[in-house]
Amino acid sequence: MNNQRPFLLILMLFLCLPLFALIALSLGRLNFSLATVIKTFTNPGANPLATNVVQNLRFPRVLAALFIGAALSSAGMAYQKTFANPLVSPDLLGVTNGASVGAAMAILCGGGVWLTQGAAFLGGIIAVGLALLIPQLLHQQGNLILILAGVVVSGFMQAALGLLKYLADPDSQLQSIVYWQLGSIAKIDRPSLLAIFPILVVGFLILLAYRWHLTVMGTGEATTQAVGINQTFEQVIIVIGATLLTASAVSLSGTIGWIGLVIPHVARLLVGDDARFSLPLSAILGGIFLLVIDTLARTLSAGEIPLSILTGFIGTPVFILILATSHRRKSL
Amino acid sequence: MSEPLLCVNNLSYQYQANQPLLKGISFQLDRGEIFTLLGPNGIGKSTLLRCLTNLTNPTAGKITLQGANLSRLSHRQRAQRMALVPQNYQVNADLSVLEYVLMGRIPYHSFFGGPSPDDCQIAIHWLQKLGIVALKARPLNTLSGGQMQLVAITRALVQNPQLLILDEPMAALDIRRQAQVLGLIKQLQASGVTIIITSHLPNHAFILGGKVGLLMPNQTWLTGLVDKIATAKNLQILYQTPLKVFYSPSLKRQICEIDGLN
Repeated sequence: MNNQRPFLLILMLFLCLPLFALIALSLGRLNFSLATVIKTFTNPGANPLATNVVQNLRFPRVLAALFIGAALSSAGMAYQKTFANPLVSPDLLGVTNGASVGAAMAILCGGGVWLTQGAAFLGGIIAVGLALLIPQLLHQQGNLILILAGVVVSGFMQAALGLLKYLADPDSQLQSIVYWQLGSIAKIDRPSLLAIFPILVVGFLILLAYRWHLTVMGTGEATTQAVGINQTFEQVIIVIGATLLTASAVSLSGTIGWIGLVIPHVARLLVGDDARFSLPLSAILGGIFLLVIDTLARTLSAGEIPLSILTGFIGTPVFILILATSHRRKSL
Repeated sequence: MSEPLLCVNNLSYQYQANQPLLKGISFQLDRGEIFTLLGPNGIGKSTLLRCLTNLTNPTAGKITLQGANLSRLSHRQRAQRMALVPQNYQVNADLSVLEYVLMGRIPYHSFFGGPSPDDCQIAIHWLQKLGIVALKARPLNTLSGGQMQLVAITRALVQNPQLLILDEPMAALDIRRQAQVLGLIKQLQASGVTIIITSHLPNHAFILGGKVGLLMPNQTWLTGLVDKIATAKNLQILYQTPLKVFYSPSLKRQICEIDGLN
């Protein structure tokens, strides 16, 4: 089998991650040389200003961008595979709307950053839990009923979010809710990153463990059933893994659209439909992409540009470029 | 006499109460037997196959595979013993033929495992046997319908099943490929694999010999040796069409043709 090329591509990009991170750390309203950035790690006392900016302001953001981008795009890849549908994003079963409702509730109650993050995480988990429960209650199986349940739960959460926005104080709370929904990682700090990190790892390991079964599921239910995979059971586990990833990402950053839907396609354009390669590649590409976006968000203008706006504006031409130049185009 | 490989006892299936689709289906198959399932469109052939592969639970009746109750087997155990080639379908994925065929080894992998070099050898062996080893690096989405059918059969054979179930394997194939698949089925039978096949052409049953099952209108079930059961009278009732069945001395078998169109 010709597995060397995809493997080398993944390895190369993975090894480049620290370099990308260093470049992102050096850029901002104050630009530092790469040597200065490295010194803030090796000799923090030498340049207190640089150390403060790089270590306290930029470092958590850079890590968060890598983690959140990787989480959203690997969850998106897992969803597209397990539902054998390339148009599916990790929002499918209502995790984003559920998280928005959780965050909006916390904002209405006057909660701080931590409460908002916790409530958003719980909201996302509850929404997906409901979507998984509905087919069980109806004693029905299959992709369609689960997707329908997700659409229904998403709609309900959207209505609940509308109600909360209607009730919110338009001068303060409503602004916070809208801003949260546009996505930003400007307020990330180390403790919340540390709290979410183990959940991200667990979610990603679940998906990674199922990478070969995900490849099979991506070819459709007919083959999956024929080779004896318990589709209903494994799909629930995969959805749980992907939901852990999405819910923790969204609870940190708010809604960031586009990544979970499109980065998986970039990955499969590069290495094909074998999830053993496209899943890790999707994670790495997602991390790099959000790192680029977030670096632009804080350097392009004096204010912070919300991430959801940039992902759409920058991602679309990049995706079209890759589509136009890829030799694997015929597979779409 | 050892116990039969597959034993279906009084199986019935209904989607809704009082709307039976399948009723009173019973038959037995020994090792190395061929069973051709005939019936018009929509009579329940595919549903019967889904019941036989434990993908759908029958409303009543019992299926035993090598003496074990089929519904007690896990999906994985079932896939080690029987392999299903679903009705003609396309897989639109950017995967090579070899990668797809390797999926047939999944019943033998641990939960998180992937294909091993041994699995690759098994896959190559069967690709060679079906004469499509040259396709092994081709992406699935560039194959013709007939090529995909052969790839799907290879994937099933890689599962190393005792029972191979083919749902209309000839539907998308030209005559040359049909002859190839029919020849392969006879070869597999000779090596001891039991085969269940559905077809729209009674001639396939005459070529393959062995047993037939007829899903007649009004949920009547006829089964037995092909020459005894696939008579002109039964086939005419089955398809509600004037048919002639006659013996061809040069082919040394029965032939079924449509009657009354001249």
